[in-house]
Amino acid sequence: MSLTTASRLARAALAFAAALACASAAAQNMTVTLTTPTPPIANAVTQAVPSSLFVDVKNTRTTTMNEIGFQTPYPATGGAGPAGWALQALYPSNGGTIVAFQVTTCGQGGLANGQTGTFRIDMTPNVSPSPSQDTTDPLPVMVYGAPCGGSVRWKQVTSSYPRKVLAMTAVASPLLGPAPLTTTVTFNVTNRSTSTYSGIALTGLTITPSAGTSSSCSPATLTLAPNASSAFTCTVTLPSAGTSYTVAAGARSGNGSASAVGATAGPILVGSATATFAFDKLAVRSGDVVRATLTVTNGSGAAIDVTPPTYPQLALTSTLTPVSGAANPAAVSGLASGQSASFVYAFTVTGAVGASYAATGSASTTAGSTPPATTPSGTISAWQVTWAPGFLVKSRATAPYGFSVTVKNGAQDAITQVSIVNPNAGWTNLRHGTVTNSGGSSLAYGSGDGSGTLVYDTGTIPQNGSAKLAFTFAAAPNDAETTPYTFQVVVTNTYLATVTYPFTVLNEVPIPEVSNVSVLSDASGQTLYWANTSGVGAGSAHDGVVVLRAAAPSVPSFPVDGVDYAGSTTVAYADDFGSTVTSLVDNAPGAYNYRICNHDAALVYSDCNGGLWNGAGWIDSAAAPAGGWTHTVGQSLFLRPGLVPGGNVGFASNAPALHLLAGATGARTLGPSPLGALPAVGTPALPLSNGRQILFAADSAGTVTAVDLQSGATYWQVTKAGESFVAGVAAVLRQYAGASFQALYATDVLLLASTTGSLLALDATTGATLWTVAAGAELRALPLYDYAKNWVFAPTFGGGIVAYDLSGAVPPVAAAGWTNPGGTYTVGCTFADVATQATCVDRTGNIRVLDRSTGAVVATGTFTGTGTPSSVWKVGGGLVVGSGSAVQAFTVSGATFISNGTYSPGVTLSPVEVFQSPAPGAVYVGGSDLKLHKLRLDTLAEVGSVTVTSQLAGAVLGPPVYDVTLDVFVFGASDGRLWAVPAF
Amino acid sequence: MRTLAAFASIALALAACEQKGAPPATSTAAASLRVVDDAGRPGPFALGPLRRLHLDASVPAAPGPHTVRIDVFRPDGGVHASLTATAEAGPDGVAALRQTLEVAGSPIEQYHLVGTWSFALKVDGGPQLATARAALGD
Repeated sequence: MSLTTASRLARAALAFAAALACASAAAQNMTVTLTTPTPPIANAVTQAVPSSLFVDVKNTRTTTMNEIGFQTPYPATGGAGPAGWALQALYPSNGGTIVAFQVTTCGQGGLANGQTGTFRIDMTPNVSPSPSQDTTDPLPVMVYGAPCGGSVRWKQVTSSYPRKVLAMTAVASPLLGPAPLTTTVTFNVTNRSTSTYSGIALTGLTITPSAGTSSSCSPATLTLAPNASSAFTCTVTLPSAGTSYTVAAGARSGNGSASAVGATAGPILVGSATATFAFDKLAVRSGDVVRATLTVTNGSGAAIDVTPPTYPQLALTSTLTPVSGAANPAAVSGLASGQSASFVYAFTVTGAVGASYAATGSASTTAGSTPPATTPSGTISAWQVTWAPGFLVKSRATAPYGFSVTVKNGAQDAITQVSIVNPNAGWTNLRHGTVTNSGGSSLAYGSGDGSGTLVYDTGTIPQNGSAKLAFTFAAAPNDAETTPYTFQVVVTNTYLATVTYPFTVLNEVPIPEVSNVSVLSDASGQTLYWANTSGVGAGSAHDGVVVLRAAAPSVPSFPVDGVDYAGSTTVAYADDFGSTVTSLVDNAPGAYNYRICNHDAALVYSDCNGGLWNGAGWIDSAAAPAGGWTHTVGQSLFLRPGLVPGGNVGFASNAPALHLLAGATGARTLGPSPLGALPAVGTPALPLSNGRQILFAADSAGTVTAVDLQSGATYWQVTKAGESFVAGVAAVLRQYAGASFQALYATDVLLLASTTGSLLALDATTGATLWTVAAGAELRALPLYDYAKNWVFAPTFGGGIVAYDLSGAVPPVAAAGWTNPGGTYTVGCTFADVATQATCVDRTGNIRVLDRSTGAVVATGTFTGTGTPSSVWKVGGGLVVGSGSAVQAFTVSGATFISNGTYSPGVTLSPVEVFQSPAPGAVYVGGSDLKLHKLRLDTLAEVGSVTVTSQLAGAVLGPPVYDVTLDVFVFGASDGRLWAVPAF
Repeated sequence: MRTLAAFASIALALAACEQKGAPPATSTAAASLRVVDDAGRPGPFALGPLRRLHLDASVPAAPGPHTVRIDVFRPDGGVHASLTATAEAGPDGVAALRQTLEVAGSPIEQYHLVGTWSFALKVDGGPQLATARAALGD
């Protein structure tokens, strides 16, 4: 304590003594009674134990009471008044303490005539010597001043209260579990008297709520010598899931001379799922916002779905109001047993100083409702103490790490001391910086520089003044995930009333990026999509996003940590308070660049500087083509989409994922389905025999994914361990197969070629492996199923073409009579003009027509365009072969293929898509000149094109698919953009 | 008062957590990223005979699982893919991981994406730890 503070306290004590003398001569104008307790807990104190006493004061005078003092016979430690009142001072007096309370604002909260207020007085009756039995202490109560004007002539009233000599505690174990829960409650009793007592028994054992409960306690009685302790053990059975129980009891000696205040165990939470509820701040000023986190823990033994309460379903004190616009927390599906999920609520606190705030809620789960969980009670304070920032992002900061504490005084008595306390290891070398005073404040640094506590005890902060204290830490912990640390700010006023404010500072590892970002551009503007994600650990839950926008080619800026952009016109969009929003409509057609950044409740933003097609964390819109749309997923698209005409269009990206859009509008239907690795080339959309339209994709991690094109749901996903698929998925549709196939296979069958050399057959409806055969060489080309012969031809990478007969056995055996023609293949074979022949093109461009029974070569030719063939199309009387640099059309004449023309525009080309009707037919091919080219099928002369845009120099377009119902072509691009353009 | 006691308990508990155990050992070796073919040869690579590329990452890290991400950039500068997997660091403080990028028959071959490819290694969402480049030609 500084000399200044000590002198101020001495003057105050003298003034108070004078006031007591005057008060004793006045008429009695109040009644003082002990607040009625709730049995079995008594309203009393316990010898040598920190205790709280509750006292009701009724004003019977016409003058409003704005100040009051309670004289305890031994040191008191604190207390609380009714709403509008604050603990003003603890005056040392006659070996005890005068506990003084005062309204914080004149005209608010004072006790008018007939009104009663309840005061809590905290004290520890360390009376020596101890009594031999229960006793009674006096409680003089006086009004010693009129801080708001009026008479000070109040008559002192002396009440009294019991002091018990049996100290008692209660604990339960376990504190939670599924119904019915049997728990053990231990009541420990200590004799604080100087006498030995026998026959001590539990009194008034009370289980709340009591319905259906049972209990059994032992022993029946205890005998305790002075300062001896022993325990009663009660086995309690609690029947009802979704219920929060307490178990309470008192204790009394056989002769009744010694007793206990009583003790309560609990809350004991019964249910397969349980919940806790906690505020981030327990002392705030009226108007401040607090967040409450409901944490639900799954103890059911199986995964559960959790639906948190909505704001209207919470029970709130009148001092809490949901923050305007705050969204109800989203439900969580599939919460694993033993895991917890957190749900955040935001409230504005309003009310008089001293008023409390609390919230209660229960979550619904598929294992039943959780017992109601209630937050600890917070208190509205006259002092406003803030710590900023509430986080440290070490990855974005350099040491020393700076913080500040701002103290504003809204009370009449001046603040004389502020201490900043660091109890945390890892945060080192706390150093004083600067003090910024305002409003008449003169607070200055005192001591502690470089230690764990900084003390500012020179000067004061008067009413309506404030002081901002800046300080630093030389180092902070290296945490792998966001970790909270609690610091304390201790504030003391003129009369040594002290309040400790805890502050949680998050050592932040930034939250992960939002996922599944995409942007639809159409004639009306843009629709942005994303999925909210959360990180690991406390403080890493998604709270909201900010969307920053810049006209292309400018790149959007980055958000600043700690800044709440909600409502700001400087950004395209921002939200917080646990927002579940996952899309944004921006009615600004054209080319814009967007940066969508995730943030946690501390408003620390994700890095949002990496990923997507540019590796820089932003995604773009583009002017939509007339009569069409464009939708970017920001991840490379090389593969041909699959679609249901007039319905959804699905496509695989290098995210890697399968995406689904509405073909007519380009709108995202359901979120992407992740793949295990980069997708294989062939991703067909197939009409299965069961009526479902399924998009299939395989990938280089051996995962095969089936997505229902109509519902958007994942049909199934399996992983074939050790396999790697490059070619994609081929199929046998059972309804078109012959009797020999149908006799052995009950469903449609998928054929997958693995680079391990394995050829797999999968049940198309489940993904189950039907058989696997070893082809003898790597497989990097699609197999071809011969519906007439019931054979499968598998072109290998260096091992020629192997054939299997599916008619005789499972797994199939090598086809009889087939002679392997040799070769290395990366594209699959196709049929030929003759029904019994197949056409295959090897990696060097050699074209061979094979007899499908013998493997004999019946015709040959050569693809003369540069590059490895990427697509082969059989057309009437000829063939079309494409590569990354050329397209070549052939007619077959006898045993020879004759070139009709080559299209080689000097740009990188996609695999081709061929239409034989209407005559003369057309070839569509995408180019790195950002054009979808239309070529005559017979001569490959270019007859049309449509041009798209990209911000990626050198972007290539993928092969198109045609929607016959919508009459549009749909194709992707390596910059992640899917285009839908009217057919031409 | 009960509230204050509760906060004091929380503070003590946090302090206890912070103090328990010594920091896990991590290797002092630098992170590395190598690009090799099936025979373990580094580039330059020829598209014709190349079947796949292996991306071998090695990172000093505390024992336990780590998320290893390798960003693959095409010659045009666009991100071809971000290959993400979990690698377990052992007692030696090293997490090693091999990712495979198929080439033959893939869009890399189909679109003839030759030129200089580049690769960037990141761990647990942190900064770029290592890079590699590989020339892919005909």
